Amino acid sequence: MASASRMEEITMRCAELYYMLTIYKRREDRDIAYQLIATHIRSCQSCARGLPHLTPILDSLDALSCAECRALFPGYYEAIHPDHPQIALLDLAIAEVALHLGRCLDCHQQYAALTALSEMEELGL
Amino acid sequence: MINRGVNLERNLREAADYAVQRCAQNLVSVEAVAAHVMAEWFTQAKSSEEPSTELLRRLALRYCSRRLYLSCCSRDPQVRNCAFENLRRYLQQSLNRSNYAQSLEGNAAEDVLQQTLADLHRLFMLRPPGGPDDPAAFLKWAQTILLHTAHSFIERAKREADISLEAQSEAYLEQNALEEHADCVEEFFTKELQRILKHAILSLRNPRYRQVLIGIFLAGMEEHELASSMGVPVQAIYLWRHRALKALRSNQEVVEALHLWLR
Repeated sequence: MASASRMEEITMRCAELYYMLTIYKRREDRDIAYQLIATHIRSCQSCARGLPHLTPILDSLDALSCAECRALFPGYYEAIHPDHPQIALLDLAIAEVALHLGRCLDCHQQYAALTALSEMEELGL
Repeated sequence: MINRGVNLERNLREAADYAVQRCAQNLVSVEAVAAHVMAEWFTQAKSSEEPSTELLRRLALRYCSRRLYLSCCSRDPQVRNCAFENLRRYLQQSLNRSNYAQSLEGNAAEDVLQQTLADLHRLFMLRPPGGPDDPAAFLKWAQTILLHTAHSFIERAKREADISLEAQSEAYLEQNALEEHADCVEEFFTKELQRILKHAILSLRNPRYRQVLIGIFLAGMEEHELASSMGVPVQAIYLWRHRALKALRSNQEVVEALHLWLR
C-alpha cells in the first residue's frame, strides 16, 4: 500500500514536471527549466536515469556531448544519491545530464550499468 | 546507547574491510579506513542519526578511491605497481558483474580490461596526472571508462556482424543472379532447339512423319495418345517415328543444325 502510494506520488510529480517543462521550454526560460528538473531528479530515481520523453519539448536544451556527459557520471551519481549526497552539483549540470540520458541510448545504457555496479557495492555484494 | 556504539563500530569495520578488499589491499589498513569513515560520518551526521551500512560502504569506498588514485600516480614504482594490481582486480570484478559481461565473447572481456588499463596508465603518467577532479570519485570514473570501452567493443562487434551478414546476403544475391542467368541460357537453348527441330520436321515431305514427330517431340504426346488422335494402331506410330528419324538423319543440313544437341 505504501509502495503504491509512493508510486502515485512519483507519477504525479513526474507528470507535473513534464507539464511545467512544456511551459518553460523557451531558451530564455532555460534556468527555470533546469531548476525544475534538478529539484525533481534529486527525489526521483526513476527520472534520474534519464528523462525519456522530453526530447520533443526541450530538444534545444541538450547541450552535452556523450564524452562530457560520461565525465559527469560519477559526480551526478553522488549528487542525486538519496542517502547523504557526497557531492554538490549545480542544477544546470544535473539537468543537462538527465536530459542527455533521456535522449542518448548509449549513455543511458552505460549510466544504468554504472548505477547497477554502485548499488551492488553499497549492498556489499 | 552502548549497543548503538558497538553496532556502529562493527558496521564501520565491516564497511572498511569490504572497501579495502575491493580496491586497496596493501595500500591502506582497515583500521585507517574505519577511522576516516567515522570522522567523515560525524561531520555529516544530524543529531543522533544512525548511518546505514550502505552509506558506510560508500564512504569507505570513496576514501579508498582517493588512496588508490594517489597511489596510481605515485612516483614510487612499488606503490604504483601495488595500486595498479588493485585497480586491475577491481575493474575485472566490475566488468564481470556488469550487464556487459555476457555480451563479451571469447577474449573480448580481457581486451576491454587491457585497453581500459592502458588508457588509465597513460593518464597516470602525465605530469600533472590526468584523472577526475575529485580523487574520491576515481573508482566510478575508472568504471565509467571501463563500461564505455565495453559498450564500444560490443557495438563494434554488432556492426561487424551486420556487415558480415550483409556480405553473405550479397553473395546469396550474386548466386541467385548466376542461377537466374543459367536458367535464362537454358531456356534460350531449349527454345532454339525446338525452333531447329520444328524447322527440320517441317522439311520432311511425308505428312504422317511430320505429324508423328511434332506430336511426340514438340507437343509431348504419348504414342498411344497420338495413335488414338490419328485413328491408327500404336504400332503404326512407332514405325512412322522410326522412319521419320531415319529421314531426318539422312538430311545433312538437319544433322549439322542439330549437331550440338545430338552429340
